[in-house]
Amino acid sequence: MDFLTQVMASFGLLLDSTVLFYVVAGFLIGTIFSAIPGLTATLALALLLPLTYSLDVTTALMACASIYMAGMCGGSITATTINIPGAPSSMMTAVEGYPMQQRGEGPLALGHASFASMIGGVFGAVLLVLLAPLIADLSLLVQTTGKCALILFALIVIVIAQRGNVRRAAIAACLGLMLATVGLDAMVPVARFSFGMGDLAAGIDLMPVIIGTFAISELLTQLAENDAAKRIREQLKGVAKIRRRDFIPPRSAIRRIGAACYLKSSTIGYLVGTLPGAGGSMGGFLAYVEAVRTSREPDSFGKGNPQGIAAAESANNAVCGGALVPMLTFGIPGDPITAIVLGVLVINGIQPGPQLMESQAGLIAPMLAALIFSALILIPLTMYLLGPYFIRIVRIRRDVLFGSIAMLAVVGSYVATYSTFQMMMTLVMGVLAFYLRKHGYPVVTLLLGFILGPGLEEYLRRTLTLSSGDLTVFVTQPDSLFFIVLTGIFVYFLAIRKPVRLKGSENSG
Amino acid sequence: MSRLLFSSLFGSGAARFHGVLGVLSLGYLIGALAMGPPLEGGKLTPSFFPLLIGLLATLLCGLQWWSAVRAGASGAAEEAPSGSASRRRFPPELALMLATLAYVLLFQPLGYALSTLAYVLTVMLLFSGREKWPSKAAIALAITGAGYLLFHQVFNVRLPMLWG
Repeated sequence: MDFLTQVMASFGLLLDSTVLFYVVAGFLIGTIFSAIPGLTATLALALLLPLTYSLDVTTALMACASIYMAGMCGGSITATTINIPGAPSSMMTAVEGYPMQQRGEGPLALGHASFASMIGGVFGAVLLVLLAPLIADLSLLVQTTGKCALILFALIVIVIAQRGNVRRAAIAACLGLMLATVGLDAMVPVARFSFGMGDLAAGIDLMPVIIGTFAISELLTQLAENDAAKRIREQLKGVAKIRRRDFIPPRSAIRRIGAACYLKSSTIGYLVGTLPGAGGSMGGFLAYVEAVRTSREPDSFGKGNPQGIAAAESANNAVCGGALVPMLTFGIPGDPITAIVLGVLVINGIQPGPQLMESQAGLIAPMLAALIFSALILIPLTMYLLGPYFIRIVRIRRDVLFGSIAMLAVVGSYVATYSTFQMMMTLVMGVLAFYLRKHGYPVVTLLLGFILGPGLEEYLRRTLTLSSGDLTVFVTQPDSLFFIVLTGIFVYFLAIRKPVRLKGSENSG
Repeated sequence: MSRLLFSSLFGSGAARFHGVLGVLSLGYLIGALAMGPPLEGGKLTPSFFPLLIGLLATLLCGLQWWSAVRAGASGAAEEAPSGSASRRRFPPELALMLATLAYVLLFQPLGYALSTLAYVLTVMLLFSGREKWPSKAAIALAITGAGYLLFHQVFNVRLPMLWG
């Protein structure tokens, strides 16, 4: 059975009430977390991670997919209503959504955001279903040296994607790599940096790193910024009541935006998603810039133009499909969410990489079906049914919310090994991540360094052993040369060439 | 210059944090060096990769620290806490760190129910203050109960109990 047929058949799994429950619950949790400024779908996934020990892996992956999709569109709620994006991916939605809200067209802006998210999400997921098997076949051609160059490429791109913060990003990546070396060496049975502690000799588990980095550090950050968050909550009290019928965008408005805008933005989002470290915010930004550039009325942007919302939202949801390409085909996550999805696979003893699409297609197909289902059905349905109540949901009491998150995070880290050592590691990682964030270090590079570290070390050592220490092997092997040239191109465009600037962005800050 | 260096090293702020990371990286590098030579009999040893990463991290942290030191007084002003935060004697985030540490240490001796109830209530009080604490205690009890149902009943996780 080919992969496309497997994905189609996987829709049948959604008829199972348990699976459907987790997919819908995942979507709602993802929407709520991404709608609350400061919280993200990444945090929702980090909290879900321990539960995947008890869940069936197919169900867990399907729930992850729906959280991912929800995380990309939920941020538009507060971006539109109070000009504060709930998630970074909705940054550009705020630029057009908030002026519409001020004109009394807030629900319509949310309707446009929802419709565009649906188009982008489906487009990205379908493209993933169609292209992933081809890319997986190509990835089989990549040998040890090429794999080493590929991981280096991913790490370098993730670091330089943090523009203006590259050195800090590189330090965070090094910290992740350093943490990954703790424990038994993969090739020789020698314990490294374990300080005689049996628990450390086994290495640092992925779970405390993820929960610490994204949940505990978030709790600490939110507490440190408690006053600002209270002000946001006050702002939300002033938002006018939203009526359900106001959400539906008229056909004429959709026609004015044009199919070309939706498709072009979705393509941009998908391609950006395939790049390590890029994410929804970059996808949305580039699609928005392109919409402004090609518009006949560029001056109308920034004043509540639905085309800007359509471009940004279709792109950031298309990112979901793109970002899963490197994770599924090479085992290289490009952002924290795909890193956690990779964690779910690893926890269940599945090794992501070129063989995954071939050997575990039965596991991957349902996840992609859930991605399409979330985009096509859950995004519009959630917006229509729960739209009027979103503002009330987002205003949930912070003490209750963070009390629950704290309990889920700490007890969740106990689940993996039934040991308080993992809980302690979670706390240590959380405190480290909190101070890193406080001083402007992007923690996503720490996580990706930690995840990619073992692979990088293994392939580097194998390459140098096989070539007797000859470094020229990196330029004589075609697969490795390809990734080195690609790295050079990305370094030029992301680190050397001047960044794209929006017209008038200097004024808006 | 020496005063600036002193304040960067021992004063509060970014330079001190970069310095701490630099010291950690250096410690890691020394640990890697202690593991033995990176090459033995023409083969790469387990110390090869840590040496490479340790060297890179130490270099980058050193550069970052030096940049912060050079930023000098403006950097110090930038890092100074502002508003109400500066008036706080004990930062709430530090209180949360200590509460979480106590929770982890007491989780097994006290059992899930008591330790979680105390922890959730502490987190709630840290976020919203001490007023109306009895109602917050009731909510903390509900959260603890919900957590028990989720982990123990739904996901079959064996949670430590004070008795049994």
